Amino acid sequence: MLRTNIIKRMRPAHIFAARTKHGAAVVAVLFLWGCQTEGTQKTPKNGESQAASEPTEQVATPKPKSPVSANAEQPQEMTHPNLAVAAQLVASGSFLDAEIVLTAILRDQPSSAQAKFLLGVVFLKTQRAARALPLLQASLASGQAFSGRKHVEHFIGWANYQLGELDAAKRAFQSHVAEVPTADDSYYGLAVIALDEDRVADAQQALERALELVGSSPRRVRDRAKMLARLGDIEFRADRIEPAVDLFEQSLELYADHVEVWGKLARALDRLGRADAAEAARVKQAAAQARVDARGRGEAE
Amino acid sequence: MQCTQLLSLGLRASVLFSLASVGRAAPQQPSPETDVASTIQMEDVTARSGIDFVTCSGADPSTQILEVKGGGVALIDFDADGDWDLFFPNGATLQTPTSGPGARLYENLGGMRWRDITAQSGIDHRAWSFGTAIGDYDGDGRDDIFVACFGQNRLWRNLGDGRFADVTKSAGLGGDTGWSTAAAMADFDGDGDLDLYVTRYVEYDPTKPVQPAHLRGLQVINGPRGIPPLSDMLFENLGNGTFADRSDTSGIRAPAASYGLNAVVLDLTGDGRPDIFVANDSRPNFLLRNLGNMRFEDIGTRVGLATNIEGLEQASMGIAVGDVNGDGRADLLTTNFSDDTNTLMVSRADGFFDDATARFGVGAPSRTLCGWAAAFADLDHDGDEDLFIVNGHVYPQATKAALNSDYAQPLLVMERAGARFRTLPAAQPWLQTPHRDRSAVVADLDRDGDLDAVIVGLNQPVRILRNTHDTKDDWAVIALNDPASRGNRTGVGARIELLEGTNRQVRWIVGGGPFQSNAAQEAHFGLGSKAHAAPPQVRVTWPDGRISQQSVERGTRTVIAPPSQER
Repeated sequence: MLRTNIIKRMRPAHIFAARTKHGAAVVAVLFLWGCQTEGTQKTPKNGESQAASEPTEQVATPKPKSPVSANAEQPQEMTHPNLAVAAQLVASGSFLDAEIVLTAILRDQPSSAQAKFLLGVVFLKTQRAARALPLLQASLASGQAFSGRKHVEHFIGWANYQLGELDAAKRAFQSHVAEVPTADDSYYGLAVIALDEDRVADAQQALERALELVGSSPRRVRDRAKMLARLGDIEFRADRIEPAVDLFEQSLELYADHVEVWGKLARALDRLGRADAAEAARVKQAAAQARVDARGRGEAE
Repeated sequence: MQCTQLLSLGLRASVLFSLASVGRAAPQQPSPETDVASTIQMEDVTARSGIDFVTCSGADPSTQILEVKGGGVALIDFDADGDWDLFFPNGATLQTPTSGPGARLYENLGGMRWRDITAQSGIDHRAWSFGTAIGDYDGDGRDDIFVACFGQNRLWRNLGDGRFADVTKSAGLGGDTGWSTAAAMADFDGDGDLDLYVTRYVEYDPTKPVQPAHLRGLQVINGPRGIPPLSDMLFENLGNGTFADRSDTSGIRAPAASYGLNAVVLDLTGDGRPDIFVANDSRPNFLLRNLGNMRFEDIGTRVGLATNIEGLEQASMGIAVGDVNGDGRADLLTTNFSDDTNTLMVSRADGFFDDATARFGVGAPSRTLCGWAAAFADLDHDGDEDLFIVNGHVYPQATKAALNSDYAQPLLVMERAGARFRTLPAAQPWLQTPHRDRSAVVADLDRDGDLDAVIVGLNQPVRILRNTHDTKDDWAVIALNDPASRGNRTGVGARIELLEGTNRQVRWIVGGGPFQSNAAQEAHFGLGSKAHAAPPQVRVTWPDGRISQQSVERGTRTVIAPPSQER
């Protein structure tokens, strides 16, 4: 049954692409891996739920034959015909399938920085930061040019954050925004770390920069929502409860499935003595959680 | 080196201590983080302690949820000689859950040495056991032992001659109550005797193993989610050596049954009555507010204690009680699962609790750890409380690579450094070595004035850590003794405030403990190296509202009795 689930999630084009070079061998790997994998892994509920939210461009499908970020001084990336498939799987959130394909690619080409990067992202997205980190670092250290290279530090930042290594996470995010000044989610990461380190003014500044960068694009409402919620955290922390409520409500208007923000709103409403409204927020939190769980049952987050 | 004083205070109190001055005392202002050099030093003295006991908790590696919680540890002075003897409940196996290798009782011989006196004590206790609570349930002046078990709980009555008798049934505590995990004794109804709260976990039948779950590609032990929870239990001490089950009438079951793992009892609402904070696994925590007359209501959600700042329930296990911001109110730290953080809840004057985990720096260092017993303790006597936490994953398959978290994990000791806590570098052997720890108590075991530790893990030797601070005059210990009490002799629920110069510190005598254990029922204060012209002043608020005040000497252990019926 497990095999069946895996194969069902593999769209025909992916299977075809996986076969293009290594044919039966890759399919065999898929088969064997499927035997060891029980469907979707539920991610822990209390991590930084947006922790691995990527900048808008970095998991773009690589072009196997002509790396977009090739640098004349860097070794050219090693190409593999299934890298495009893997990147598509990562981009679509099919992490288990992507892991299978990328593992196979790395067996063929153990030094492929592109594959290491993508597999690192997969591990990070499936709450295996300790496994992601060395792959991400190796992809950078390879010196190879590959699609998404300039964003590796972003993922290194979140991997370190998930492992509780705030200093390393901070360095990585800082490095990323130095290279990619428009990297809103790394500013967000810096804000989250600043909150963890009780540097509230720094957090505020980083969040405002992140909000400015993320803009008002309808495609980015979820990111904008999480940033507004963090600004609400700052207000709440300073005992400015009504502004906090405003920010939480703004956040939820943009993205109502942000489970944690409902909880924050409820807590703030309790503080204001609005017990009924707080209870209503908790009911909505439970509903949001149910929606998120329903989505999660199909594929790993 | 130590001076034990037994003072019953009356009129002298008002001369020795000014209430008003304490009330206005500025909260402790921790020094800047950079000014603090770590002086926390401990050593593992297990090998010479006389304790060579390896706990039993089912198969190793564990295969079922019943096997992963481990057993607790209790500090008990069963022979009333003024030092801490140790009781270990111990577990069993899935094949013989009611007939394990048995609990152990160790007598403290002084000098960090104990001897096993289980056989002569008559404690033939072989049920699979988890938490334990110590208290004088029958008011005869001697510490008795309650054990939270899988199956029937047990109450062992101290006979006073070194022997104990199983009085479970005659005390009204008989019968199979499923899987009890932890217990706390306190005087909930204010009648002077010790009542009993018992947390319970899940419905479990060892003959019907639960099928494994799958997590991130690993086959792991299943639960508690998906297994029916058991609601907690509350027993009223009737004052005649028996208890009455008040679980259904007290309101403790108004919140849905949960996965209870631990509890502490103290007044968290400021109304003078002992409340119950319950750490639940994978469900919101409870704050059971004591309404009087053995009635409670859960206000955990309303005051912000049930979930973390994200509004999410956690898998709470250990509980530490301290005053991290020096405002004189009790704050709570809970330990939680890996890929989550421990959570510090700071109490506010308006009755709410703020999640101050990030503000105090206790979150990130715990993210890869699965935390269990926790205690605030001034390990270096610098006048603020540090944090002592034992860790270990529940899944034998856990590795950093697979789950960001190893099965065996080191201690997490965090030193208070300025406004935040910072992790003590793992430069010493007692900190470096990973274990599968579960329970621990922190107390002055050798009566040299500093705080030592007993650590209990899963299928591993009990460990004894000696604090090598060993300074003579930078501490004070306050123990309470109410000889007229009907059982709450040690003042569970009392608040003890010490003022020296501008340094004000508060401790609480709590029911329950760090995890499935019985916290030391005495208050330890580190005073720093600088002595002030005036000696430290102590004010005790007894559970019934009486006040004792007196000065104490640095470097002494002082036993304080309540004033005669003053209120």
